[in-house]
Amino acid sequence: MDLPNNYTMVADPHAKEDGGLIIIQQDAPRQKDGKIQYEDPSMTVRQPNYADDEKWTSQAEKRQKDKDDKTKSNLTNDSINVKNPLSSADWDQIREGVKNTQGLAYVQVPPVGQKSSQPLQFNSIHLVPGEKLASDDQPLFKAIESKVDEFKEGN
Amino acid sequence: MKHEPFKIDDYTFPHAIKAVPKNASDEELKEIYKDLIEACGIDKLPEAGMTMLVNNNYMFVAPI
Repeated sequence: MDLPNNYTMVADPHAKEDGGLIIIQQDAPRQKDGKIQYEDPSMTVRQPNYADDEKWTSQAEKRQKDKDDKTKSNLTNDSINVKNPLSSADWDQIREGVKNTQGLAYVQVPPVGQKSSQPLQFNSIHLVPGEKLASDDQPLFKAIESKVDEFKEGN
Repeated sequence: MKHEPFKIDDYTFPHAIKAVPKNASDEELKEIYKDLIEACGIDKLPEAGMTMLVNNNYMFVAPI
Protein backbone atom coordinates (compact mmCIF):
# COMPACT_ATOMS: atom_id res chain seq x y z
CA MET A 1 0.00 0.00 0.00
CA ASP A 2 1.49 3.34 -1.07
CA LEU A 3 1.48 6.17 1.49
CA PRO A 4 2.42 9.89 1.25
CA ASN A 5 6.08 10.95 0.79
CA ASN A 6 7.04 7.64 -0.91
CA TYR A 7 6.32 5.59 2.19
CA THR A 8 5.04 2.08 1.57
CA MET A 9 3.30 -0.36 3.89
CA VAL A 10 4.18 -4.01 3.28
CA ALA A 11 3.68 -7.32 5.08
CA ASP A 12 6.57 -8.09 7.45
CA PRO A 13 8.35 -11.16 6.03
CA HIS A 14 9.76 -12.01 9.49
CA ALA A 15 6.78 -10.94 11.61
CA LYS A 16 6.77 -12.25 15.18
CA GLU A 17 3.07 -11.39 15.36
CA ASP A 18 0.79 -12.80 12.65
CA GLY A 19 -0.31 -9.93 10.40
CA GLY A 20 2.63 -7.69 11.24
CA LEU A 21 3.32 -4.82 8.81
CA ILE A 22 6.34 -2.68 8.00
CA ILE A 23 6.35 0.95 6.87
CA ILE A 24 9.43 1.96 4.88
CA GLN A 25 10.34 4.91 2.70
CA GLN A 26 11.20 3.71 -0.78
CA ASP A 27 14.54 4.64 -2.29
CA ALA A 28 13.11 4.55 -5.82
CA PRO A 29 9.68 4.35 -7.48
CA ARG A 30 8.09 0.92 -7.74
CA GLN A 31 9.08 -1.10 -10.77
CA LYS A 32 6.49 -1.86 -13.46
CA ASP A 33 5.85 -5.32 -12.06
CA GLY A 34 5.08 -3.81 -8.64
CA LYS A 35 8.39 -4.80 -7.04
CA ILE A 36 9.85 -2.44 -4.44
CA GLN A 37 13.53 -1.53 -4.43
CA TYR A 38 14.71 -1.04 -0.86
CA GLU A 39 18.25 -0.97 0.46
CA ASP A 40 17.87 -2.12 4.07
CA PRO A 41 20.13 0.13 6.21
CA SER A 42 19.88 -2.25 9.20
CA MET A 43 22.06 -4.78 7.34
CA THR A 44 25.06 -2.45 7.62
CA VAL A 45 26.83 -1.60 10.88
CA ARG A 46 25.39 1.49 12.63
CA GLN A 47 27.78 4.43 12.47
CA PRO A 48 28.08 7.03 15.29
CA ASN A 49 26.06 10.24 14.97
CA TYR A 50 26.39 12.82 17.74
CA ALA A 51 25.06 15.77 15.72
CA ASP A 52 22.98 18.36 17.53
CA ASP A 53 19.83 18.74 15.44
CA GLU A 54 19.08 22.11 17.01
CA LYS A 55 22.21 23.69 15.49
CA TRP A 56 22.52 25.04 11.95
CA THR A 57 24.89 27.45 10.26
CA SER A 58 22.46 29.49 8.17
CA GLN A 59 18.76 30.17 7.68
CA ALA A 60 18.95 28.31 4.35
CA GLU A 61 20.28 25.22 6.14
CA LYS A 62 17.50 25.48 8.76
CA ARG A 63 14.85 25.75 6.01
CA GLN A 64 16.30 22.69 4.24
CA LYS A 65 16.40 20.71 7.51
CA ASP A 66 12.80 21.65 8.30
CA LYS A 67 11.73 20.62 4.77
CA ASP A 68 13.61 17.29 5.02
CA ASP A 69 12.10 16.66 8.46
CA LYS A 70 8.58 16.87 7.00
CA THR A 71 9.23 14.68 3.96
CA LYS A 72 12.18 12.33 4.56
CA SER A 73 12.60 9.38 6.90
CA ASN A 74 15.50 9.40 9.36
CA LEU A 75 15.56 5.61 9.28
CA THR A 76 16.97 5.24 5.76
CA ASN A 77 20.62 5.76 6.74
CA ASP A 78 23.05 3.81 8.94
CA SER A 79 24.03 6.73 11.22
CA ILE A 80 20.85 7.36 13.19
CA ASN A 81 21.04 9.82 16.09
CA VAL A 82 19.29 8.04 18.95
CA LYS A 83 18.20 11.42 20.39
CA ASN A 84 16.14 12.08 17.27
CA PRO A 85 15.72 8.77 15.40
CA LEU A 86 12.43 9.69 13.73
CA SER A 87 11.59 12.66 11.53
CA SER A 88 8.21 14.40 11.64
CA ALA A 89 7.32 12.38 8.52
CA ASP A 90 8.14 9.13 10.40
CA TRP A 91 6.07 10.19 13.43
CA ASP A 92 3.22 11.08 11.05
CA GLN A 93 3.24 7.53 9.62
CA ILE A 94 3.31 6.04 13.13
CA ARG A 95 0.49 8.28 14.33
CA GLU A 96 -1.74 7.48 11.34
CA GLY A 97 -0.89 3.75 11.43
CA VAL A 98 -1.71 3.40 15.14
CA LYS A 99 -4.87 5.48 14.77
CA ASN A 100 -6.18 3.59 11.73
CA THR A 101 -5.45 0.07 13.01
CA GLN A 102 -5.86 0.68 16.77
CA GLY A 103 -2.61 -1.23 16.95
CA LEU A 104 0.94 -0.98 18.21
CA ALA A 105 3.92 0.53 16.40
CA TYR A 106 7.51 -0.15 17.30
CA VAL A 107 10.93 0.96 16.08
CA GLN A 108 14.31 -0.49 17.00
CA VAL A 109 17.77 1.00 16.44
CA PRO A 110 20.86 -1.18 17.03
CA PRO A 111 23.79 0.06 19.18
CA VAL A 112 26.71 1.74 17.35
CA GLY A 113 28.93 -0.93 15.78
CA GLN A 114 26.10 -3.49 15.57
CA LYS A 115 23.78 -4.53 12.75
CA SER A 116 20.64 -6.54 12.38
CA SER A 117 20.81 -10.33 12.22
CA GLN A 118 17.89 -10.49 9.80
CA PRO A 119 16.48 -8.12 7.16
CA LEU A 120 14.06 -5.37 8.19
CA GLN A 121 14.48 -5.99 11.93
CA PHE A 122 15.88 -2.55 12.77
CA ASN A 123 15.56 0.89 11.11
CA SER A 124 11.98 0.41 10.00
CA ILE A 125 8.55 1.17 11.43
CA HIS A 126 6.78 -2.01 12.50
CA LEU A 127 3.03 -1.96 12.91
CA VAL A 128 0.89 -4.69 14.48
CA PRO A 129 -2.84 -4.04 13.88
CA GLY A 130 -4.99 -4.15 17.02
CA GLU A 131 -6.98 -7.17 15.83
CA LYS A 132 -3.74 -9.17 15.53
CA LEU A 133 -2.44 -8.24 18.98
CA ALA A 134 -2.63 -10.91 21.65
CA SER A 135 -1.76 -8.41 24.37
CA ASP A 136 -3.26 -10.44 27.22
CA ASP A 137 -0.73 -13.20 26.65
CA GLN A 138 2.37 -11.05 26.70
CA PRO A 139 4.15 -10.35 30.00
CA LEU A 140 5.55 -7.01 28.83
CA PHE A 141 2.11 -5.69 27.85
CA LYS A 142 0.66 -6.97 31.14
CA ALA A 143 3.37 -5.16 33.09
CA ILE A 144 2.84 -1.94 31.14
CA GLU A 145 -0.95 -2.04 31.49
CA SER A 146 -0.79 -2.74 35.23
CA LYS A 147 1.64 0.14 35.75
CA VAL A 148 -0.53 2.46 33.63
CA ASP A 149 -3.56 1.54 35.79
CA GLU A 150 -1.51 2.05 38.95
CA PHE A 151 -0.33 5.43 37.66
CA LYS A 152 -3.90 6.53 36.81
CA GLU A 153 -5.16 5.48 40.26
CA GLY A 154 -2.37 7.46 41.93
CA ASN A 155 -3.46 10.65 40.16
CA MET B 1 -1.84 18.34 30.35
CA LYS B 2 1.61 17.28 31.51
CA HIS B 3 2.17 13.54 32.04
CA GLU B 4 5.15 12.73 34.22
CA PRO B 5 7.26 9.78 33.05
CA PHE B 6 7.68 6.84 35.38
CA LYS B 7 9.71 3.65 35.35
CA ILE B 8 8.63 0.03 35.61
CA ASP B 9 10.43 -1.76 38.41
CA ASP B 10 9.48 -5.31 37.46
CA TYR B 11 12.18 -5.56 34.82
CA THR B 12 15.92 -5.40 35.39
CA PHE B 13 16.73 -3.20 32.38
CA PRO B 14 16.23 0.57 32.47
CA HIS B 15 13.16 1.73 30.61
CA ALA B 16 10.43 4.33 30.86
CA ILE B 17 6.79 4.71 29.92
CA LYS B 18 4.52 7.70 29.53
CA ALA B 19 0.87 8.22 28.70
CA VAL B 20 0.06 9.51 25.19
CA PRO B 21 -2.76 12.09 24.98
CA LYS B 22 -5.63 11.34 22.61
CA ASN B 23 -5.00 12.57 19.05
CA ALA B 24 -1.40 13.53 19.93
CA SER B 25 0.38 15.52 17.20
CA ASP B 26 3.81 14.68 15.70
CA GLU B 27 5.38 17.35 17.91
CA GLU B 28 3.72 15.97 21.06
CA LEU B 29 4.97 12.46 20.22
CA LYS B 30 8.48 13.86 19.68
CA GLU B 31 8.34 15.60 23.08
CA ILE B 32 7.14 12.42 24.81
CA TYR B 33 9.99 10.46 23.20
CA LYS B 34 12.44 13.14 24.37
CA ASP B 35 11.14 12.88 27.95
CA LEU B 36 11.40 9.09 27.88
CA ILE B 37 15.00 8.91 26.62
CA GLU B 38 15.91 11.33 29.42
CA ALA B 39 14.00 9.19 31.96
CA CYS B 40 15.83 5.99 31.01
CA GLY B 41 19.20 7.64 30.33
CA ILE B 42 19.54 7.05 26.57
CA ASP B 43 20.19 10.76 25.98
CA LYS B 44 23.51 10.31 27.86
CA LEU B 45 24.38 7.19 25.82
CA PRO B 46 24.61 8.28 22.16
CA GLU B 47 26.09 4.90 21.17
CA ALA B 48 23.21 2.91 22.67
CA GLY B 49 20.47 1.35 20.60
CA MET B 50 16.83 1.70 21.55
CA THR B 51 13.41 0.09 21.35
CA MET B 52 10.35 2.33 21.20
CA LEU B 53 6.76 1.07 21.31
CA VAL B 54 3.72 3.30 20.97
CA ASN B 55 -0.03 2.73 20.85
CA ASN B 56 -3.06 4.91 21.50
CA ASN B 57 -2.44 4.96 25.26
CA TYR B 58 1.26 4.97 26.01
CA MET B 59 4.82 5.13 24.70
CA PHE B 60 7.52 2.79 26.00
CA VAL B 61 11.28 3.27 25.48
CA ALA B 62 14.19 1.04 26.52
CA PRO B 63 17.89 1.06 25.57
CA ILE B 64 19.48 -1.89 23.72
